[in-house]
Amino acid sequence: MRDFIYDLRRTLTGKFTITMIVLIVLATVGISYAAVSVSSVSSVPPNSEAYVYPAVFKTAYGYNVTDFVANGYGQPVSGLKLDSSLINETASTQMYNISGTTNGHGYFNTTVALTEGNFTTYGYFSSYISGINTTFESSISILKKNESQSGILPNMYSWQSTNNLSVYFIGKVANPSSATISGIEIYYASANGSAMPSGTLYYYVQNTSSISLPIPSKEMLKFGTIGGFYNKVFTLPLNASANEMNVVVELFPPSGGAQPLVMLPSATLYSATSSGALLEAILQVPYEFLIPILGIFSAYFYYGKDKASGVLESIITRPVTKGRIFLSRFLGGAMSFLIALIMAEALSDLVIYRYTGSLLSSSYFFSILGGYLVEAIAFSGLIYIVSQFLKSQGGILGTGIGLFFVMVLFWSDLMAIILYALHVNSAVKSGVIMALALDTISPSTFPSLVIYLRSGFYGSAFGVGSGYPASSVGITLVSVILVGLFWLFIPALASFFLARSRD
Amino acid sequence: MIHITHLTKQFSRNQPPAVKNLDLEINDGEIMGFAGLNGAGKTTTIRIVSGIIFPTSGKVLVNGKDIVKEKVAASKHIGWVPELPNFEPTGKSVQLLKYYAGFYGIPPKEAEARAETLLKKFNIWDARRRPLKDYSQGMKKRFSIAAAMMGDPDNFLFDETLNGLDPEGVKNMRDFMLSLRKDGKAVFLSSHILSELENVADRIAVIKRGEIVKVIERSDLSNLGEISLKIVLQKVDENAISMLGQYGIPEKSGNEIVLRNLNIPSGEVYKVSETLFKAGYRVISISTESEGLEDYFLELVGSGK
Repeated sequence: MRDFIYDLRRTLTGKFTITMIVLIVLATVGISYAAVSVSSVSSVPPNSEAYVYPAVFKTAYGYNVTDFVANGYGQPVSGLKLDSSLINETASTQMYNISGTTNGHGYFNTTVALTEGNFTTYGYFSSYISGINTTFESSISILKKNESQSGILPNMYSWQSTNNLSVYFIGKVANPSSATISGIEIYYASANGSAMPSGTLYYYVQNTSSISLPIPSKEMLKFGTIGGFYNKVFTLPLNASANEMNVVVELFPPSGGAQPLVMLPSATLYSATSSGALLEAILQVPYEFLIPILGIFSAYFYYGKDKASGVLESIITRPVTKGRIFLSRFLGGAMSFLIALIMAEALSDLVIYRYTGSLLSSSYFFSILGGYLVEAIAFSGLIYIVSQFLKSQGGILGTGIGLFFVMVLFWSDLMAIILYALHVNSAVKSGVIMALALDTISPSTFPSLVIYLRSGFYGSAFGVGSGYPASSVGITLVSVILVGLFWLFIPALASFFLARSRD
Repeated sequence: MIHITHLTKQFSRNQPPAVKNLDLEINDGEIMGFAGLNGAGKTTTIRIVSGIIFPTSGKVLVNGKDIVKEKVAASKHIGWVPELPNFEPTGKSVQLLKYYAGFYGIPPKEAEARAETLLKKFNIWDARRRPLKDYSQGMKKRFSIAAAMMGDPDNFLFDETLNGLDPEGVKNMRDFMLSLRKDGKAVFLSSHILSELENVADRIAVIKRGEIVKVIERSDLSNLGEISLKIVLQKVDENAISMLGQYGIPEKSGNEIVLRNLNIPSGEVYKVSETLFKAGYRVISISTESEGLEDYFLELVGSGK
């Protein structure tokens, strides 16, 4: 066994192994970083966004304008240039333009001495927002830092008190330490400059179409009494039960009256996307190509190339057997993939953790690892078999690339043609089972099979028909393990047997 | 010592065996030449002995170890030098020799020192930083010998190693093989260059269509086949030719007559010169010549034989 361990060690420390591990790790981490560092809502990260919370109060001397600007995390944005107008809607040509820059606390305050005319709308160019009356902004645009555009936070709602002396805003903001839970920002401004009076914050995870009246009702959860600030970000204690649910947030007057001061209805404050689901989705497309091609190339470089060129003969004449050389190369390749995938997953996990605040669960970790490891080893095994029959390096590599085209790139098309030729209706359950059985003939489909098993749901293989519970179409732990064992061992054992017995 | 017993190798059922019931023994301190036409089974035999391919039947013992059943133990005593060496093209000599040394359990430091000694011995030390793909054919062969010697085996297999070498290379190789014999190693040398086999081999096994047809001992090399008489006269005429006809079939070429198919024993060749002398012919030289190895070889392996 010393000869086997010796060659295995050399395989594991070879240039190709190191290059492959670095490639898989860098590609995976890079793709993960690129995917999670960009918000799915905006093309810029939350800390580069800016949203305006406007408030304009009419006084006997004119208009007091107070604009507060916060970024996507609800943090104040200083140095932002704002251009706005007071508009007299009864005489549309009458506008008073305002221009200014936010201070270190994110505020821009100014007083406009206009005693004539009735300016009812405070507008940011073409966008209108309440400030004087209750004109509501319906279109949403993103105001970027250092740009004089207008905008309002998505899911932002406002309410002003009836005496026109104060205004409340409540909006959804991103959480810098978790992509799973969003925060809510509450902003208050008043004509006399006072801080927000006490109010009681309630929230309601909306799993029914409506809540009972009167509100606050027993279904609503009390967050607590808040007040004494001008703007503040809160994080509600939501958990996985809020997955994909809408969360209604309401702020009630301290008296506990039935009318809420301000509410944020139907906002998803808890994202169902876990770190594992995120990584699984991120890797699916690039790994579909990367893993099979590396499996093919690793077998070619570890074994096929040396066998076809005769280099292997100069090794076989040493005190080592053909079988042990085969095993050391094959297992060396498999271990390289194992190491590469574990490192890639672990580092990607850390990258994603920075954005989601959660680590991969073991089920995701092992399903991603197992799916792609089996796929890589299976493609390697197929090339080890090919290497036993073909005598030229070009022939082996060409066959490998051909396998990639057939079993990866055009596999679904090929299966669709076969199903069509066999008159199999993949819209019905029996057809789905047939399609699934045919699909497993290629190891490229194994990672998807593992995902179906983990999620418990099987989507139609060829985009025809709807999905089924995984177990109802035969995707069970036993069947997936059997398919996995087949791809792990059959090509390897067949090529091992041929390597030992063929000259 | 290499002991080959009833060795047979059949690659395909549709073709005759490449090697058939071959028996051969290469002793320690002996150079065994291995001659045969292309496709006679020389390389197949050597590849079986080196453990690259499996025999269909028969047995090869290397220092008493079966090359199939005890491959690791047997291969420790084998050094193989192929006709066209194939090594990792991008590999460097020291690095590759160290890798091979690992299979013999030689520690890295010792392997490095041994590699240096061998590369210097075969004059390729200066090329150690170049990848092997940049080596000439001669350098590759020298590296191949160094690689074969890494494990200090007792038995060496040279498969057409002399092919493609320049005269200096051939001489060095000849000296090297003689030094191996001197060190008590068993050398199995397959070659097309019969004169070289004649120069170094203690015995020459001639293989034809996978079978050993003759093993020629060194002592027989000078006395192979038919003996002829070469006579150089000052003047050759028809009378001299007619006179020599009583001893065999004379063939005239200038002032030389070659007398073939002698009908007198080699010990009575003096009678020919006596006859010529008595008839008044001046004999400049008279010598016996036996058939060369090449002729003998062709006679053995030639078509129809």
